[in-house]
Amino acid sequence: MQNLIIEGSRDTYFTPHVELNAQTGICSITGESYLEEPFEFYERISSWFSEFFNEDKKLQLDLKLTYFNTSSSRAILEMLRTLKELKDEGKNLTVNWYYPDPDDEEILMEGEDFMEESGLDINMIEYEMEEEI
Amino acid sequence: MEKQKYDNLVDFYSSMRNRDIIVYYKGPFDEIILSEIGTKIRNKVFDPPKIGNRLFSVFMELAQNIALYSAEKNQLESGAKWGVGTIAVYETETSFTLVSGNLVKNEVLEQIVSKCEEINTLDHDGLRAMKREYRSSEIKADHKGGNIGLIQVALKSDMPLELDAKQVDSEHSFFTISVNVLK
Repeated sequence: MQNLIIEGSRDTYFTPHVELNAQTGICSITGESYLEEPFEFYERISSWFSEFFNEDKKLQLDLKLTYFNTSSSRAILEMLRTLKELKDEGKNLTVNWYYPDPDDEEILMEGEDFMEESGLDINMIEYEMEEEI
Repeated sequence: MEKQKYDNLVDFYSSMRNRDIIVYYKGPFDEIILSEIGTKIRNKVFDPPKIGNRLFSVFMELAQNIALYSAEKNQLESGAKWGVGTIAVYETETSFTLVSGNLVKNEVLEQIVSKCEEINTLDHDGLRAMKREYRSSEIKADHKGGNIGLIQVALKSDMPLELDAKQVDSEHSFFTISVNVLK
């Protein structure tokens, strides 16, 4: 199975950086998400997860998103629901949601809302935000 | 006659004279414009930075609503139809204000206004709950979805949405939402 790598960019739209590693099972989605076709984008990632679990493997997904518009948030929720279904089937997966410090509780709040809506256990992990210009 | 040609613009310009304008735009809200104005807001230095993040988030949601739902469309070279509207972002002593306006069909106006009024009755936790409810139930019914956008705008602003509607003809009204982000 192939790794799925999507380079992050901030051109007209904002594409998060995606790294899905089929060997280690360590996966991450980082950055900003404002996409022309958000559902297609996250559906592709969900499909990769489904295929990954065709074998008995262990997956860790680190989500470190600093901005996403509401269209993206709906697509992200769909992806988390796919993961919830996989987990309910007994697959071995962990999802971590990273929120910055200081955060004004906004990214943390989004993570909590995703957890409640998807029904998936998500670990909330604080990280120190570096100043990015 | 010539003299009166630009009176509207002069009036508008004068009304904005004492405000610190960050952006004023009228036209089609295509992806390039969204990106340019969004970047302009982001590149401004805000203290604390979270105000800038909130203003950017409010701008993105309202601009996407215009792009997708304005009753006035503009066909650009690409063939894509983009919603036409207007947006002004300015700074006052106490807040940043973002005003967005576009034409809506009279038949949907009431629906939008009552949605905004419902939003205005809710506190922060109430808005969060409403957002979760809409996001959970509306998925796939409408891929783009503007409803959550308005809730998100209210969440980022923490102030009531200010609404205004003026009928322009038998089919259309000009609908304005004004949002404050306190300093």
